[in-house]
Amino acid sequence: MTTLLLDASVLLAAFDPEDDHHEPARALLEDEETTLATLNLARYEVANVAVRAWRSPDSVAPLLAAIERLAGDGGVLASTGTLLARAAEVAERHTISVYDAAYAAAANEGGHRLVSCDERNLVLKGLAVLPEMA
Amino acid sequence: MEIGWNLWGTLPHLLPSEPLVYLGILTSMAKVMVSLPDDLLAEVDAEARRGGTTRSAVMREFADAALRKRREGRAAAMRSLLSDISPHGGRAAEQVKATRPGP
Repeated sequence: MTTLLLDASVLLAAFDPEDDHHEPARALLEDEETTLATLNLARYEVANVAVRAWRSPDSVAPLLAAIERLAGDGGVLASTGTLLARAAEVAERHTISVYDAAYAAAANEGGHRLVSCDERNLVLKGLAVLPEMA
Repeated sequence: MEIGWNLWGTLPHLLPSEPLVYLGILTSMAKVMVSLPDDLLAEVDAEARRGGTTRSAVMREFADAALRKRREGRAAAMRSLLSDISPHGGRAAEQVKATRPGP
């Protein structure tokens, strides 16, 4: 059974009924058959979107609580120096940000499948799958 | 030693790899070495005798049950967290990009 590594966009989509990927993202979080993990970077990214884009600071606590539940499942992986060095290589190779590349490198290192709503930078480059395809 | 029949009805040691049917699913099964305290191993063996099965099968079932319980706990917590959400305009991936620190 492959562990799915979720990036911040999947967590945010699950908490936003207006997102195009809301239903499949939500179904993933509620799936009892699949082990889920994420990267510690997701904590900053979901909090940043909740406060700066959603203007909804009250959403930070449930989003972080969701990440804590992943910590007790497949885990919240740490952005170590080794991981970021690999992420830098992935970023250079695919001309994407080191942030996006960090998720891809973490998934690759752990033998996980990366799930993201980012079609342009991750899915179309073959680095991740959409929630509905996971 | 544990011997199981594979999909082709032959003994697994006759094949280079060991695909087995486990819980109705075709899966590969690795052999691993696990260190256990003596008293825990005694309990595992007692459980195997009670169930008329093998030490390996008991440990597989326990590992499967523990991981399943962990996933079910996470799923239940997520259902609770997602029971009271409000709309935020969508486009999660774009929002993540837009709120990351600039160069």
